[in-house]
Amino acid sequence: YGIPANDDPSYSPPANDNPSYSAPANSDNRLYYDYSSRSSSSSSDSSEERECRKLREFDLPSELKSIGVKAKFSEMERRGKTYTTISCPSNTKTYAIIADKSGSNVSQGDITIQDAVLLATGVNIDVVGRCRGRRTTVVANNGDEVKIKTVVCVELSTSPDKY
Amino acid sequence: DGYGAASDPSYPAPGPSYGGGGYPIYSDEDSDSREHRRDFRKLKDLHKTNVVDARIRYYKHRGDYYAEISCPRQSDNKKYTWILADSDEKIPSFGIDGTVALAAGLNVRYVAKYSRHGKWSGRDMTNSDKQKFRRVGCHHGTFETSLTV
Repeated sequence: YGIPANDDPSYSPPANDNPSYSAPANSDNRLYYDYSSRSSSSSSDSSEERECRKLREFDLPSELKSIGVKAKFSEMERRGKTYTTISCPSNTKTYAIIADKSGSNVSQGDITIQDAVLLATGVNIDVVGRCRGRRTTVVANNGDEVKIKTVVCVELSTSPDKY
Repeated sequence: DGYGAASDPSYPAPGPSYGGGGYPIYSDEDSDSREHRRDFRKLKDLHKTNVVDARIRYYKHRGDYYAEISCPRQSDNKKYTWILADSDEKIPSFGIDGTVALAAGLNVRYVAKYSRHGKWSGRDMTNSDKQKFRRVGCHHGTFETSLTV
């Protein structure tokens, strides 16, 4: 059996400059990158490991743009495959994480978002996507595995006050 | 404190019908294999009333270790599921004694970062305070989302 190189616990990647991004509200020591940059991979020599292709921002309908917020991204590796964590700026606010999907809709009240799929919704939630070539694959809220190119966080007004 | 005991049993490999219910998985997920050596201690289950086992996947990035914590789905797909960790406090005030709520929602997942000495860390969902924990679990709640899903 061959363990992928990046699973070697003694492996110490060289230091890399952080990608430029506006400081997130939470500074939890995790390396983040935003839409405009991609992190440099310290394991570019591994043929199995690829960088995540950047996800662009999902274009919300005009009536929702004011509550749309850019998602943030963080790369991880597992068994020679690369993943990206998609999260929203505030740890304490409620968001819906929405991505592109043709022929599917997401609704709230009277507002319908066309060609969209709900990945997750709630407080302090992460979505983990698998990076495959030009696409990122995630498991949507309905359990479907979907390939996405754009994603956005939508801030919701309701916050849970009970379990 | 149990660390000398046998290692945590890993989750059984999913059967062919696994994708139809329970945890969502990627269709080409490779089978689990025990890693040669780890520089971290795995998260453990949180044993509390009304808390069920989380599913955990481990990742690495530039020498740091991460854990993706996810939960079994609720049959009512509008109700929140909560990811809890062990704590000396009760956070939020309406929560479960000895636990802190890390995240809550639909299709809820939470990525924690390994700290050291068997402890993992991450921000909580109530005050965004940094929490340190060894155990995690899931609670199926009754709070409903306003989204149509």
